[in-house]
Amino acid sequence: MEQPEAVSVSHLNLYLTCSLKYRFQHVDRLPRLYRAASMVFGSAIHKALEWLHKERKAGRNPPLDQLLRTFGADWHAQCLDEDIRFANGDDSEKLVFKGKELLSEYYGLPAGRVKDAELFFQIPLVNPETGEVLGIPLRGVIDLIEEDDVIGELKTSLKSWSLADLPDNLQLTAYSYAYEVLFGRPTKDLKVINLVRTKQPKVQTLITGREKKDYERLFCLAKEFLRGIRAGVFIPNRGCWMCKDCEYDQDCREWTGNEEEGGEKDASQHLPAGSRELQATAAHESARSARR
Amino acid sequence: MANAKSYQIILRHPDGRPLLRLIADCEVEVIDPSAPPVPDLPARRERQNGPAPAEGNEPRMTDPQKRYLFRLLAQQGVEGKQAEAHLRDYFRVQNLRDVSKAGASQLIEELIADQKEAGGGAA
Repeated sequence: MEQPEAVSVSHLNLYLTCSLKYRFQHVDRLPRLYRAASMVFGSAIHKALEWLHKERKAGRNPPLDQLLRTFGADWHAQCLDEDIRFANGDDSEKLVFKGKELLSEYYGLPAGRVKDAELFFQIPLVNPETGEVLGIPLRGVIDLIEEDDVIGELKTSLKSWSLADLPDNLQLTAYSYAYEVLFGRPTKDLKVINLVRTKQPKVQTLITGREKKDYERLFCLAKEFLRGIRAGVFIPNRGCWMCKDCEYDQDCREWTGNEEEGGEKDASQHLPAGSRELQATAAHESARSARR
Repeated sequence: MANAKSYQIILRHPDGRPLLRLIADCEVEVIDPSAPPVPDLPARRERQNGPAPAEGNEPRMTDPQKRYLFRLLAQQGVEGKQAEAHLRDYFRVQNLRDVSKAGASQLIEELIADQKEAGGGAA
Protein backbone atom coordinates (compact mmCIF):
# COMPACT_ATOMS: atom_id res chain seq x y z
CA MET A 1 0.00 0.00 0.00
CA GLU A 2 1.34 3.40 -0.97
CA GLN A 3 2.20 5.58 2.01
CA PRO A 4 0.89 9.14 2.29
CA GLU A 5 3.29 11.97 1.50
CA ALA A 6 2.74 13.56 4.91
CA VAL A 7 1.04 12.83 8.22
CA SER A 8 -1.66 15.26 9.17
CA VAL A 9 -3.31 15.18 12.54
CA SER A 10 -6.76 14.94 11.04
CA HIS A 11 -5.67 11.87 9.05
CA LEU A 12 -4.07 10.38 12.13
CA ASN A 13 -7.17 10.99 14.23
CA LEU A 14 -9.40 9.59 11.54
CA TYR A 15 -7.27 6.45 11.22
CA LEU A 16 -7.25 5.92 14.98
CA THR A 17 -11.02 6.38 15.21
CA CYS A 18 -12.01 4.36 12.15
CA SER A 19 -9.27 3.13 9.85
CA LEU A 20 -11.81 1.92 7.30
CA LYS A 21 -13.24 5.42 6.93
CA TYR A 22 -9.66 6.60 6.43
CA ARG A 23 -9.31 4.11 3.61
CA PHE A 24 -12.59 5.10 1.94
CA GLN A 25 -11.75 8.79 2.20
CA HIS A 26 -8.02 8.99 1.55
CA VAL A 27 -6.97 5.76 -0.15
CA ASP A 28 -9.98 4.84 -2.28
CA ARG A 29 -11.16 8.46 -2.48
CA LEU A 30 -14.77 7.34 -2.71
CA PRO A 31 -17.23 10.08 -3.53
CA ARG A 32 -19.42 11.06 -0.61
CA LEU A 33 -23.08 10.40 -1.19
CA TYR A 34 -24.01 13.19 1.18
CA ARG A 35 -22.48 15.48 3.78
CA ALA A 36 -23.44 15.76 7.40
CA ALA A 37 -24.85 19.18 8.22
CA SER A 38 -22.67 19.33 11.33
CA MET A 39 -19.55 19.10 9.15
CA VAL A 40 -20.81 21.81 6.81
CA PHE A 41 -21.67 23.95 9.82
CA GLY A 42 -18.26 23.52 11.46
CA SER A 43 -16.49 24.26 8.22
CA ALA A 44 -18.49 27.46 7.59
CA ILE A 45 -17.86 28.67 11.16
CA HIS A 46 -14.18 27.93 10.69
CA LYS A 47 -13.98 29.90 7.45
CA ALA A 48 -15.78 32.87 8.98
CA LEU A 49 -13.43 32.92 11.97
CA GLU A 50 -10.41 32.51 9.72
CA TRP A 51 -11.52 35.64 7.90
CA LEU A 52 -12.11 37.51 11.17
CA HIS A 53 -8.69 36.57 12.53
CA LYS A 54 -6.94 37.59 9.32
CA GLU A 55 -8.74 40.92 9.44
CA ARG A 56 -7.68 41.44 13.04
CA LYS A 57 -4.13 40.40 12.20
CA ALA A 58 -4.10 43.14 9.57
CA GLY A 59 -5.15 45.61 12.26
CA ARG A 60 -8.73 45.94 11.07
CA ASN A 61 -11.80 45.40 13.21
CA PRO A 62 -14.56 44.44 10.80
CA PRO A 63 -18.19 44.87 11.81
CA LEU A 64 -20.10 41.85 13.07
CA ASP A 65 -22.36 42.08 10.06
CA GLN A 66 -19.49 41.21 7.71
CA LEU A 67 -18.50 38.23 9.82
CA LEU A 68 -22.06 36.90 9.71
CA ARG A 69 -22.23 37.46 5.95
CA THR A 70 -19.04 35.51 5.44
CA PHE A 71 -20.51 32.63 7.40
CA GLY A 72 -23.81 32.75 5.53
CA ALA A 73 -22.07 32.84 2.15
CA ASP A 74 -19.86 29.89 2.94
CA TRP A 75 -22.83 27.90 4.23
CA HIS A 76 -24.82 28.71 1.08
CA ALA A 77 -21.94 27.73 -1.19
CA GLN A 78 -21.41 24.43 0.59
CA CYS A 79 -25.08 23.54 0.34
CA LEU A 80 -25.20 24.05 -3.45
CA ASP A 81 -25.31 20.80 -5.39
CA GLU A 82 -24.76 18.78 -2.22
CA ASP A 83 -27.06 16.43 -0.41
CA ILE A 84 -26.85 17.71 3.15
CA ARG A 85 -28.08 15.39 5.88
CA PHE A 86 -29.57 17.12 8.91
CA ALA A 87 -29.90 15.47 12.29
CA ASN A 88 -32.41 15.77 15.12
CA GLY A 89 -34.87 18.17 13.60
CA ASP A 90 -32.19 20.57 12.42
CA ASP A 91 -32.64 22.39 9.16
CA SER A 92 -30.69 24.93 7.20
CA GLU A 93 -32.47 27.92 8.71
CA LYS A 94 -31.93 26.76 12.28
CA LEU A 95 -28.26 26.05 11.75
CA VAL A 96 -27.61 29.37 10.04
CA PHE A 97 -29.34 31.11 12.94
CA LYS A 98 -27.34 29.11 15.47
CA GLY A 99 -24.12 29.86 13.62
CA LYS A 100 -24.84 33.57 13.70
CA GLU A 101 -25.60 33.39 17.41
CA LEU A 102 -22.30 31.63 18.10
CA LEU A 103 -20.29 34.00 15.95
CA SER A 104 -21.93 36.98 17.61
CA GLU A 105 -20.98 35.55 20.98
CA TYR A 106 -17.38 34.97 19.86
CA TYR A 107 -17.13 38.38 18.23
CA GLY A 108 -18.07 40.08 21.50
CA LEU A 109 -15.41 38.34 23.57
CA PRO A 110 -12.22 40.13 24.52
CA ALA A 111 -9.61 39.04 21.98
CA GLY A 112 -5.85 38.73 22.24
CA ARG A 113 -3.72 40.32 19.56
CA VAL A 114 -3.66 38.03 16.54
CA LYS A 115 -0.16 37.20 15.34
CA ASP A 116 -1.23 34.67 12.76
CA ALA A 117 -4.23 32.74 11.55
CA GLU A 118 -4.46 29.50 9.59
CA LEU A 119 -0.72 29.01 9.65
CA PHE A 120 0.23 26.08 7.44
CA PHE A 121 3.21 23.99 8.47
CA GLN A 122 5.07 20.99 7.14
CA ILE A 123 7.92 19.92 9.36
CA PRO A 124 9.96 16.83 10.16
CA LEU A 125 8.52 14.76 12.99
CA VAL A 126 11.30 13.72 15.35
CA ASN A 127 11.14 11.49 18.40
CA PRO A 128 12.55 13.80 21.10
CA GLU A 129 13.74 10.82 23.13
CA THR A 130 15.64 8.89 20.44
CA GLY A 131 16.18 11.43 17.68
CA GLU A 132 14.50 9.12 15.16
CA VAL A 133 12.94 10.99 12.26
CA LEU A 134 9.66 9.83 10.73
CA GLY A 135 10.01 9.07 7.03
CA ILE A 136 7.38 11.64 6.05
CA PRO A 137 6.72 15.13 7.41
CA LEU A 138 4.03 16.29 9.81
CA ARG A 139 1.60 18.65 8.15
CA GLY A 140 -1.17 20.82 9.50
CA VAL A 141 -2.70 24.23 9.98
CA ILE A 142 -2.71 26.15 13.25
CA ASP A 143 -6.02 27.98 13.55
CA LEU A 144 -4.85 30.94 15.60
CA ILE A 145 -1.64 32.28 17.11
CA GLU A 146 -1.95 35.08 19.62
CA GLU A 147 0.75 37.19 21.21
CA ASP A 148 2.72 35.71 24.11
CA ASP A 149 3.01 32.29 22.48
CA VAL A 150 -0.64 31.30 22.81
CA ILE A 151 -2.14 28.90 20.29
CA GLY A 152 -5.89 28.73 19.71
CA GLU A 153 -7.65 25.69 18.32
CA LEU A 154 -11.22 26.33 17.19
CA LYS A 155 -13.92 23.73 17.62
CA THR A 156 -17.65 23.50 17.14
CA SER A 157 -19.55 20.87 19.06
CA LEU A 158 -22.90 19.94 20.49
CA LYS A 159 -21.64 19.84 24.05
CA SER A 160 -19.00 21.38 26.24
CA TRP A 161 -15.62 19.75 26.56
CA SER A 162 -14.19 18.79 29.92
CA LEU A 163 -10.59 19.22 31.02
CA ALA A 164 -10.26 15.45 30.79
CA ASP A 165 -10.65 15.72 27.01
CA LEU A 166 -7.49 17.77 26.66
CA PRO A 167 -4.43 15.67 27.62
CA ASP A 168 -4.85 13.13 24.81
CA ASN A 169 -5.90 15.60 22.14
CA LEU A 170 -3.48 14.98 19.29
CA GLN A 171 -4.22 18.21 17.46
CA LEU A 172 -3.07 20.25 20.42
CA THR A 173 0.06 18.13 20.74
CA ALA A 174 0.90 18.48 17.06
CA TYR A 175 0.33 22.24 17.02
CA SER A 176 2.39 22.73 20.15
CA TYR A 177 5.19 20.65 18.62
CA ALA A 178 4.97 22.57 15.34
CA TYR A 179 5.08 25.89 17.17
CA GLU A 180 8.27 24.89 18.95
CA VAL A 181 9.87 23.81 15.69
CA LEU A 182 8.75 26.91 13.79
CA PHE A 183 9.41 29.55 16.42
CA GLY A 184 12.16 27.93 18.51
CA ARG A 185 10.34 28.29 21.80
CA PRO A 186 7.52 26.45 23.58
CA THR A 187 3.95 27.64 23.69
CA LYS A 188 2.79 29.34 26.83
CA ASP A 189 -0.80 28.15 26.53
CA LEU A 190 -2.78 25.89 24.28
CA LYS A 191 -6.29 27.20 24.12
CA VAL A 192 -9.29 25.23 22.92
CA ILE A 193 -12.03 27.63 21.85
CA ASN A 194 -15.18 25.59 21.63
CA LEU A 195 -18.28 27.09 20.05
CA VAL A 196 -20.95 25.00 21.69
CA ARG A 197 -24.15 24.59 19.71
CA THR A 198 -26.47 24.13 22.67
CA LYS A 199 -29.90 25.70 23.08
CA GLN A 200 -28.16 28.56 24.80
CA PRO A 201 -25.09 28.94 22.57
CA LYS A 202 -21.83 29.58 24.32
CA VAL A 203 -18.13 29.88 23.67
CA GLN A 204 -16.05 27.75 25.99
CA THR A 205 -12.33 28.28 26.44
CA LEU A 206 -10.10 25.65 28.00
CA ILE A 207 -6.37 25.95 28.50
CA THR A 208 -3.74 23.26 28.63
CA GLY A 209 -0.07 22.62 27.81
CA ARG A 210 2.26 19.97 26.40
CA GLU A 211 5.64 18.51 27.25
CA LYS A 212 8.31 16.30 25.72
CA LYS A 213 6.62 12.99 26.51
CA ASP A 214 3.55 14.14 24.59
CA TYR A 215 5.69 14.70 21.49
CA GLU A 216 7.21 11.27 21.90
CA ARG A 217 3.72 9.81 22.04
CA LEU A 218 2.73 11.71 18.88
CA PHE A 219 5.78 10.32 17.10
CA CYS A 220 4.99 6.74 18.13
CA LEU A 221 1.37 7.04 17.05
CA ALA A 222 2.37 8.52 13.68
CA LYS A 223 4.87 5.71 13.16
CA GLU A 224 2.27 3.03 13.87
CA PHE A 225 -0.22 4.85 11.65
CA LEU A 226 2.25 4.54 8.78
CA ARG A 227 2.87 0.89 9.51
CA GLY A 228 -0.84 0.22 9.49
CA ILE A 229 -1.30 1.93 6.15
CA ARG A 230 1.67 0.21 4.53
CA ALA A 231 0.31 -3.11 5.74
CA GLY A 232 -3.17 -2.34 4.43
CA VAL A 233 -4.82 -2.57 7.83
CA PHE A 234 -8.21 -0.86 7.57
CA ILE A 235 -10.81 -2.06 10.03
CA PRO A 236 -14.31 -0.67 10.63
CA ASN A 237 -15.05 0.61 14.09
CA ARG A 238 -18.81 0.20 14.08
CA GLY A 239 -20.49 2.08 16.88
CA CYS A 240 -17.86 4.76 17.25
CA TRP A 241 -18.93 8.40 17.49
CA MET A 242 -18.32 8.98 13.78
CA CYS A 243 -20.83 6.35 12.63
CA LYS A 244 -23.85 8.56 13.28
CA ASP A 245 -22.94 11.03 10.54
CA CYS A 246 -20.67 8.85 8.42
CA GLU A 247 -20.93 9.49 4.69
CA TYR A 248 -19.58 6.03 3.98
CA ASP A 249 -22.10 4.11 6.06
CA GLN A 250 -23.34 2.10 3.10
CA ASP A 251 -19.80 1.34 1.89
CA CYS A 252 -18.92 0.22 5.39
CA ARG A 253 -21.90 -2.12 5.63
CA GLU A 254 -21.00 -3.64 2.28
CA TRP A 255 -17.32 -4.01 3.12
CA THR A 256 -16.11 -7.58 3.26
CA GLY A 257 -12.41 -7.13 3.82
CA ASN A 258 -9.39 -5.45 2.28
CA GLU A 259 -7.88 -6.77 -0.91
CA GLU A 260 -4.14 -7.17 -0.93
CA GLU A 261 -1.80 -5.75 -3.54
CA GLY A 262 0.13 -8.48 -5.31
CA GLY A 263 -1.84 -11.31 -3.72
CA GLU A 264 -2.27 -12.61 -0.23
CA LYS A 265 1.17 -14.14 0.20
CA ASP A 266 3.07 -11.13 -1.16
CA ALA A 267 1.06 -8.77 0.97
CA SER A 268 1.90 -10.57 4.17
CA GLN A 269 5.61 -10.34 3.30
CA HIS A 270 5.26 -6.54 3.15
CA LEU A 271 4.17 -6.39 6.76
CA PRO A 272 6.68 -4.83 9.12
CA ALA A 273 8.67 -7.23 11.25
CA GLY A 274 7.43 -7.73 14.76
CA SER A 275 3.80 -6.84 14.15
CA ARG A 276 2.21 -10.23 14.62
CA GLU A 277 -1.17 -8.74 15.35
CA LEU A 278 -1.13 -6.83 12.08
CA GLN A 279 -0.06 -9.93 10.16
CA ALA A 280 -2.85 -11.98 11.69
CA THR A 281 -5.41 -9.31 10.91
CA ALA A 282 -4.21 -8.83 7.34
CA ALA A 283 -4.17 -12.58 6.70
CA HIS A 284 -7.66 -12.92 8.04
CA GLU A 285 -8.96 -10.05 6.00
CA SER A 286 -7.25 -11.04 2.77
CA ALA A 287 -8.79 -14.47 3.03
CA ARG A 288 -12.16 -12.83 2.57
CA SER A 289 -13.17 -11.55 -0.82
CA ALA A 290 -12.81 -7.85 -1.28
CA ARG A 291 -15.77 -5.80 -2.32
CA ARG A 292 -13.63 -3.63 -4.56
CA MET B 1 -27.24 50.18 -2.83
CA ALA B 2 -29.09 47.20 -1.38
CA ASN B 3 -27.24 45.78 1.57
CA ALA B 4 -27.94 42.98 4.05
CA LYS B 5 -27.64 43.91 7.71
CA SER B 6 -27.80 41.73 10.78
CA TYR B 7 -29.02 43.04 14.10
CA GLN B 8 -28.64 41.29 17.40
CA ILE B 9 -30.87 42.09 20.38
CA ILE B 10 -30.19 40.44 23.72
CA LEU B 11 -32.58 40.68 26.67
CA ARG B 12 -30.87 39.85 29.94
CA HIS B 13 -31.92 39.00 33.49
CA PRO B 14 -30.96 41.60 36.09
CA ASP B 15 -27.97 39.40 36.99
CA GLY B 16 -26.67 39.59 33.42
CA ARG B 17 -27.69 36.12 32.22
CA PRO B 18 -29.11 36.22 28.69
CA LEU B 19 -32.86 35.67 28.58
CA LEU B 20 -33.62 36.06 24.91
CA ARG B 21 -31.49 36.64 21.85
CA LEU B 22 -32.85 37.79 18.54
CA ILE B 23 -30.84 38.02 15.37
CA ALA B 24 -32.58 39.77 12.54
CA ASP B 25 -31.34 39.88 8.97
CA CYS B 26 -32.84 42.47 6.73
CA GLU B 27 -32.28 44.07 3.41
CA VAL B 28 -31.87 47.80 3.77
CA GLU B 29 -31.24 50.56 1.35
CA VAL B 30 -28.05 52.21 2.49
CA ILE B 31 -27.62 55.73 1.23
CA ASP B 32 -24.58 57.17 2.88
CA PRO B 33 -23.21 60.10 0.93
CA SER B 34 -19.94 60.02 2.87
CA ALA B 35 -19.29 56.33 2.12
CA PRO B 36 -16.72 55.53 -0.56
CA PRO B 37 -18.25 54.06 -3.71
CA VAL B 38 -18.31 50.27 -3.72
CA PRO B 39 -16.35 49.02 -6.73
CA ASP B 40 -18.39 47.44 -9.48
CA LEU B 41 -18.29 43.69 -9.63
CA PRO B 42 -16.62 42.38 -12.76
CA ALA B 43 -19.92 41.31 -14.33
CA ARG B 44 -21.36 44.75 -13.84
CA ARG B 45 -18.62 46.19 -15.98
CA GLU B 46 -20.31 44.73 -19.03
CA ARG B 47 -17.49 42.37 -19.64
CA GLN B 48 -17.38 41.18 -23.18
CA ASN B 49 -14.67 38.62 -22.62
CA GLY B 50 -15.64 36.73 -19.47
CA PRO B 51 -14.24 33.22 -19.15
CA ALA B 52 -15.95 30.61 -21.24
CA PRO B 53 -17.65 27.63 -19.56
CA ALA B 54 -15.52 24.56 -18.91
CA GLU B 55 -15.51 22.22 -21.87
CA GLY B 56 -14.39 18.65 -22.41
CA ASN B 57 -11.75 17.57 -19.95
CA GLU B 58 -11.03 21.05 -18.65
CA PRO B 59 -10.89 20.98 -14.85
CA ARG B 60 -14.04 22.29 -13.17
CA MET B 61 -14.18 24.87 -10.39
CA THR B 62 -13.17 23.22 -7.12
CA ASP B 63 -15.29 23.28 -4.00
CA PRO B 64 -12.87 25.60 -2.14
CA GLN B 65 -12.92 27.98 -5.12
CA LYS B 66 -16.71 28.02 -5.14
CA ARG B 67 -16.84 28.75 -1.41
CA TYR B 68 -14.23 31.46 -1.73
CA LEU B 69 -16.15 33.14 -4.53
CA PHE B 70 -19.34 33.23 -2.48
CA ARG B 71 -17.48 34.66 0.53
CA LEU B 72 -15.82 37.31 -1.60
CA LEU B 73 -19.12 38.30 -3.17
CA ALA B 74 -20.78 38.43 0.24
CA GLN B 75 -18.16 40.96 1.32
CA GLN B 76 -19.38 43.13 -1.53
CA GLY B 77 -23.01 42.73 -0.52
CA VAL B 78 -23.96 40.04 -3.03
CA GLU B 79 -25.31 37.03 -1.20
CA GLY B 80 -27.25 33.80 -1.54
CA LYS B 81 -29.39 33.41 -4.66
CA GLN B 82 -28.23 36.80 -5.87
CA ALA B 83 -24.62 35.59 -5.78
CA GLU B 84 -25.57 32.42 -7.62
CA ALA B 85 -27.29 34.41 -10.34
CA HIS B 86 -24.35 36.76 -10.55
CA LEU B 87 -21.91 33.89 -11.04
CA ARG B 88 -24.06 32.15 -13.62
CA ASP B 89 -24.33 35.41 -15.49
CA TYR B 90 -20.63 36.15 -15.26
CA PHE B 91 -19.57 32.70 -16.40
CA ARG B 92 -22.44 32.35 -18.85
CA VAL B 93 -23.45 28.94 -17.52
CA GLN B 94 -26.75 27.36 -16.53
CA ASN B 95 -25.15 25.48 -13.67
CA LEU B 96 -22.20 26.50 -11.51
CA ARG B 97 -20.83 22.98 -11.91
CA ASP B 98 -19.90 24.00 -15.46
CA VAL B 99 -17.58 26.78 -14.37
CA SER B 100 -13.94 26.10 -15.20
CA LYS B 101 -11.20 26.09 -12.59
CA ALA B 102 -9.23 28.67 -14.56
CA GLY B 103 -12.25 30.93 -14.87
CA ALA B 104 -12.93 30.71 -11.14
CA SER B 105 -9.29 31.58 -10.40
CA GLN B 106 -9.52 34.60 -12.65
CA LEU B 107 -12.63 35.94 -10.96
CA ILE B 108 -11.17 35.30 -7.51
CA GLU B 109 -8.13 37.36 -8.42
CA GLU B 110 -10.32 40.18 -9.70
CA LEU B 111 -12.49 40.22 -6.60
CA ILE B 112 -9.44 40.22 -4.32
CA ALA B 113 -7.96 43.11 -6.29
CA ASP B 114 -11.28 44.95 -5.97
CA GLN B 115 -11.29 44.45 -2.22
CA LYS B 116 -7.73 45.63 -1.88
CA GLU B 117 -8.64 48.76 -3.79
CA ALA B 118 -11.57 49.29 -1.45
CA GLY B 119 -9.25 48.84 1.53
CA GLY B 120 -10.61 45.57 2.88
CA GLY B 121 -9.29 42.04 3.28
CA ALA B 122 -10.13 38.97 1.27
CA ALA B 123 -12.70 36.61 2.69
